[in-house]
Amino acid sequence: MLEKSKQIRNTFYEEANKANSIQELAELRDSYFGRKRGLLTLLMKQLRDVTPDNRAEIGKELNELKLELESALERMKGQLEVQVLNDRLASEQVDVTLPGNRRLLGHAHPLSQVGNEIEDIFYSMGYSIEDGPEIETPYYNFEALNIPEHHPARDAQDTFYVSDSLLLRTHTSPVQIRTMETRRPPLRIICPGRVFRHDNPDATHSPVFHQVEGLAVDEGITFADLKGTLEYFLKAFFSERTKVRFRPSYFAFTEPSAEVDISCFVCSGKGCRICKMSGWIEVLGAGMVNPAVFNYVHYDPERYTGFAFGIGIERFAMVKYSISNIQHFYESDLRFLEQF
Amino acid sequence: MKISWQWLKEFVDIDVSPQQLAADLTNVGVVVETVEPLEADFLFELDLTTNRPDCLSHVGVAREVSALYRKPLKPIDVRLEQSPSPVNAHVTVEIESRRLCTRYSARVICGVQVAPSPEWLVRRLEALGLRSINNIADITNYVLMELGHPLHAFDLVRIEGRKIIVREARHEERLVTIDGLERKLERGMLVIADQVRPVALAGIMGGLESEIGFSTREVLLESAWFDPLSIRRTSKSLAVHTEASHRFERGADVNATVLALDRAASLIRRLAGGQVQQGVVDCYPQVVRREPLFLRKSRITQVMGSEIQPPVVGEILNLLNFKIVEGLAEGWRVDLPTSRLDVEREIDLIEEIARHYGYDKFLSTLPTWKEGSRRRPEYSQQKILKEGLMHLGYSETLTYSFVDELENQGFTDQQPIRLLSPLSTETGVMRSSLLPGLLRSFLRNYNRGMRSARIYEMGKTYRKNAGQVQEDEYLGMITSGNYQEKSVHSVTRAINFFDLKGDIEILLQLLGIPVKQVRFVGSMHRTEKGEPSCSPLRHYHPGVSAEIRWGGQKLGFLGQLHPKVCEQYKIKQPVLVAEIPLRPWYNVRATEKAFHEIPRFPSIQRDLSMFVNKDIDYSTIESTIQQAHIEEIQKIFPFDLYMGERLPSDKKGISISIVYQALDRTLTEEEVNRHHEKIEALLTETLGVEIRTPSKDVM
Repeated sequence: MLEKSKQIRNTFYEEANKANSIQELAELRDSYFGRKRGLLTLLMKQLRDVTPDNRAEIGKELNELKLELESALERMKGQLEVQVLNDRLASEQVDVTLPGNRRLLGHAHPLSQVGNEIEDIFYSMGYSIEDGPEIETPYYNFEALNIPEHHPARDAQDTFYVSDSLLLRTHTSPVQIRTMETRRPPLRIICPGRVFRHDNPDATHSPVFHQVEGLAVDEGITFADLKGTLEYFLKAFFSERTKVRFRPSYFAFTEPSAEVDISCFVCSGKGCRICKMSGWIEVLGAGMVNPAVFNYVHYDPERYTGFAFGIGIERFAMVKYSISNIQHFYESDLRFLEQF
Repeated sequence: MKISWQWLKEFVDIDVSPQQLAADLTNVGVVVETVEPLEADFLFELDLTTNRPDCLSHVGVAREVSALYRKPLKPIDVRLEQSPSPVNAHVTVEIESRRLCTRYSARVICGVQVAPSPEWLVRRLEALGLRSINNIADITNYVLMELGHPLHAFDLVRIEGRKIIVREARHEERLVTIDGLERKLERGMLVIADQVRPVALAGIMGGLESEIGFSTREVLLESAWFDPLSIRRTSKSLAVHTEASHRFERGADVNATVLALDRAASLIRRLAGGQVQQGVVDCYPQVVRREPLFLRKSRITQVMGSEIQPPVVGEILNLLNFKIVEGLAEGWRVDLPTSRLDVEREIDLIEEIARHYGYDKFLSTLPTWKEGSRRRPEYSQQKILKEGLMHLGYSETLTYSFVDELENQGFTDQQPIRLLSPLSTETGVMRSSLLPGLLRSFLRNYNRGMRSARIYEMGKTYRKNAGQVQEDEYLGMITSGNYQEKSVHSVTRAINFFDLKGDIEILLQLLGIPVKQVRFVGSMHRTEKGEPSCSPLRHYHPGVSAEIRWGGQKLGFLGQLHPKVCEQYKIKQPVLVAEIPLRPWYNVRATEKAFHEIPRFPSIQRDLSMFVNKDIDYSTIESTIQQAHIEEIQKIFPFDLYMGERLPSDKKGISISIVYQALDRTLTEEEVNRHHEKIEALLTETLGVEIRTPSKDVM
């Protein structure tokens, strides 16, 4: 019987190696373990006829054979199942290089993106965001900003009028006055918005453009605070490596006034076409609030000081994205808009 | 203003290169745009701010250079050989209009030889962009460029009665100016006149008749100070802008008149010969003296954030010609020169010191705040909408706020706000609707072959409201073409009304407006009394457009653009648009969110198919079902709509699903059947629908 057992083991493995499907494996199991005609089942049945002396030894052997074959069958079944699954999955392969099925995303206008970025930086620095009318009175647009009638500064800002007493604001600065009229210091606000100048459109002029006005008023606000604030902002907006330069300038509603330049990020200050060989790019105007302006809004100029600045959003967007023609912003060409 | 490097060096020593000087001047606020070499010289192109007329001359810029490098100004050569005969014998001057002319100084030079200017003079003037005329005229221009004070030379023989009268023009008086144009003058314009007529437009341009010519022998040199405002008004109303008017309207130096005369006279004597008559006719009725100003040390620190050493303050003030009359512990009493009318307050002096001290030397600090910041709610709402639109596939456009009046009229009945002097008729009125701009934007892309687009603009529209100007913030949307790009993944189809409506519903949802409560009222919809339910807008397709309402509020209008409008714009495909006033959207306070227990019991869905009269809209069917007051109804939605040949032309087939669910128990079959039968009966009774198939369980 031991001989028989050895023979069964050998033929089992021989046949098992030929089994290539779950079906064939089931048949194999049946031919060894089948209740009626299974080879091993039959052999086990013969155990009853073995002399008691040898029964223990042969019984052990047959049991081992049974366990061995069963586990071999299980193992092979597992292997075959994996193979079957793998074959199915392989047949389901897709071309992953086909484009994704997405609904196309729209694009925020570059001026909105730049405006939001500017807003976020100042909001993080404690500035509140204000708004004001686009159709303004000469009082808010000029007079209260210390630009009296016939002041040469009014020439520089060719104005659209809609009547004798109403105009399209030429800057966002009127919001300064409107805010100061209704609130007391401390005050720190920015006001983004549309402004208008009577300029024929060309590469650098647009009759409609956008500004962000900033204003901070409190006791103890200094020119040093203006410098620190704008340096922080410009580094946050452009890059940490940006160098910032303040140059004296003139605006009727600030004094001292400054033009603010950043080091050219194209040539790092060596001089190139973008910075007109100067190494610097002019980006905004700023200054300490002129005491004359405080007088208009009944703030005590001896007690309060403040600073104000005006950022041209188009200017920032043009510098940031190297856009050479301001007209792109208003032409609504999707080939332009989709780049942002 | 152009400045010559060589000429500048006649007044101050400069140890640096022209390029360095340009950079340094720019840093003190005298902006040098360009430095160009010209033969042995360099030309500086200055871009001056309007408050600095004192820098419109070489001496003026030299003063800045002197303060910049702490070097003294060199004296100006005005040595003058005068003949014994007194000037008074040749001319008399009378200022009639003292308000507009503070000072009028004059010299007379007899026996001059008017001739072309020598080469060096011609070159200097031409380098600055001035045309050479003759030696006398050129000298007045030369002194203007050198000292900044405008002069005028008259042929004295042409001055009737040898008398100068400074007066306002008389009504309808005329004067032919040296440019050959006859000027019609008005009262309020200041003229220089002789005994009979005006001979010059004061401070702006001389008259042709009294112009210096080659036959001129006697020259009357005028050096005066005119009221800036008056010069500006006259120059503007006559549209003449000259080197002289440019300076007078910004403010010349009233105390520089004689210096300029002497400098010019000495040059005339040198270049044109003649005798300078003894003395100056100086009509200066009210001598201008400026009050000294007190500058506090503490104020410098308060404004600038750091102290500046007193000796440095003193040196800068001195070099800029602000003489310190008294130095005290708290500060300085400072004299204000008449050459710097822009400096009149303490803060002006602080600026002068700060710019020459160097802006870069002040600290950089961040102010400390005592409170937090806030955004007005509409800023975050606007952001949410813009982000939502972006994810829905809309690209943002920005267009001009002014549009063509006729085009504007096509989209609104509002009275437009007209610009008094628009750039063109296409930009004549402030837009009352965003659609003209948006359509133009769409068209620009459409015309280059781009057929599908989703774009929007968020911005203001403008209208008159009870005589007042009203600005309203609007969202305008346009969508047209294919719903999706052609793709391997799906079959494409045209964008329709419901795509746009769905987008708007998502936007409502993003702002926390309960979409279920929002009603879309069709343009052709009528109330039970047969009256129109809304006031439809004429630029919409009447059958495919609706007003958006929530409670009593109008939240906007959407729909297909009227085919006539498409035709006007030559668009050959349906265009869907929406106009949404944002104020009511922003005013919505999003309903507070509260958690509802998740139902633990299964829901049952039943379908209901029916034939119904075409004019009964879906919302009526749904609200009829709601009238059954079955609280187990969780959801009602339509899933099929059929109209066509198999139905009578006045009928449509519609299929609806109703989801039932109870929060406290599993619904029984009988319960749901009872509800469903009730609904069927209600629909048949109220709306006369014909129920098609017996209701059936699907879940």
